[in-house]
Amino acid sequence: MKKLYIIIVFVFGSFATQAQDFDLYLEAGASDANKLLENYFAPAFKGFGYGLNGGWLNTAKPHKSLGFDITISTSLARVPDSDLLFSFVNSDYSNIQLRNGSSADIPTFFGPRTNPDNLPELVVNPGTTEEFRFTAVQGFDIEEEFQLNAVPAVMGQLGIGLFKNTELKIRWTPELEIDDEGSSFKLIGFGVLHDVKQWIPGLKLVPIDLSAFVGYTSMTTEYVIDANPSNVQKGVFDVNGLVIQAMVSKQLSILTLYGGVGFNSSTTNLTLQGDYDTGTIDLPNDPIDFNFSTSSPRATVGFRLKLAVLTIHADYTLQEYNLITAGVGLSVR
Amino acid sequence: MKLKLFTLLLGVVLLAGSCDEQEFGFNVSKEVALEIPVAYEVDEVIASLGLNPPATEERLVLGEVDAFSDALSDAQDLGEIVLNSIAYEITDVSTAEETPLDELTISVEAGNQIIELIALDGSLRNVPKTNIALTQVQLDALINELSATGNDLNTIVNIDFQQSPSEDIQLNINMFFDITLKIRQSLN
Repeated sequence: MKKLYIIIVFVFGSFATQAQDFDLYLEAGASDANKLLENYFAPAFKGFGYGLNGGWLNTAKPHKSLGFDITISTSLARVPDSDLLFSFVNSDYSNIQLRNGSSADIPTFFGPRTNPDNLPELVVNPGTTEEFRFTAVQGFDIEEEFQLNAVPAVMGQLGIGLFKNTELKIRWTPELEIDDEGSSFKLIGFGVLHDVKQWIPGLKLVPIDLSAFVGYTSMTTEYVIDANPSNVQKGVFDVNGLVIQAMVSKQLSILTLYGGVGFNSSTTNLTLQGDYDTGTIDLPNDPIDFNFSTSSPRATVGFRLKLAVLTIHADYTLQEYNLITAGVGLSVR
Repeated sequence: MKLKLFTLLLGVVLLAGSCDEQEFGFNVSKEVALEIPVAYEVDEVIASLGLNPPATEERLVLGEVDAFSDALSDAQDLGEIVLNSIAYEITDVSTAEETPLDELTISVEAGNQIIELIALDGSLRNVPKTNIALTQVQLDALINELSATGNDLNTIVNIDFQQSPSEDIQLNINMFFDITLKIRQSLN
């Protein structure tokens, strides 16, 4: 069967530079494999969702009419220690059980690279002639590798000043063909930043900028594993993020200090589409279907330096997966 | 699935790319069951004379059973093979066949040494699945033979009755080999 790890590698790029054969999971049946893999990869998917919502703003002051900026930001969503392990509970699974005990904490993708001899053993198809055992998958110990347990996301966007101190932000790529098999990537996002200070009597003279922002981003990646028309096998990675935020900023010469509070949410879906054959069990069509949802209040503080039209910014966001963001841009008006 | 799992393991791919050398891996285990059918034919002459019949020997070459040898040989390229335990059971012995034994032994022939696994006395009888106590040296010798290319590991069942049974006897001896394959890959 085509290897799921291809999808995983593709989705996580540099993160998944090592991958294991997840066929073993599929031997437990699609339902159990989904649960197990979903728990294993949850921090990566959640982190990416939070990262997608980063990088929207570096000031509360919208552009003047026809002013614009082009900004590129990189965000790192830190995986909390509580998500380095997940609890495997026998009653959650049908065809896979712990060999000893009824529950155990086992590593997620970001978890420790524990020696397999010391990891809990899982029994697949217990009590049948198909029974076999394997140790829980090691974590990739990302912190050990990269000194930080974090999921990266890179975003580029255009901001355009409209009217009434309102700015439209656009994230967009055309549908990009990644390879000859039909793999593709597309991104679209919109945001609106509006100066609310102008509508609040008495605030007009206060020397700060105060705005409200709402932004939505949607990213879809399709990776074609096998383009055979009779059975197209592909992985589809779909992420949607929404952020609503109140922003305040104060410009001091070339330095702008900014901060905000708000709320963000994301939904992430990974599907493995097509027919697959493990050789021993029948899998349904589209055997893998992961869904992750996140939502969290957020509070951001940061600064921006503006040198003529060049901007450099960095900020830190407190939320379920804390986010550090840095970026550069060109800003006019 | 039999040894399908070992075949699956051949598909294990570890992509290298980390900054420093680290070990990545997992263990896969399976209890492989092998059935040894034993057929004892009564010698009419010995039976009629009431003599002590000669011992009967059945041999099963494990390397020829169920791709056992091939799978293990292939798997050995992926990691270390560990024989965790061996168990046996005796089935299909009817009450009428419970004949007094001088001895029933099950041994394995690993290379040029014979390792006795079981020595059963009393009467021939059904035995539920029972672990066989082996030393680590014996286990290592067995797994080395099992995983060697072109292995010649034989299981030898020897049945010696005190007196000839009244009719032919057919029974099954099931051997269970619990094996772990430790996949390890150093990533550079």
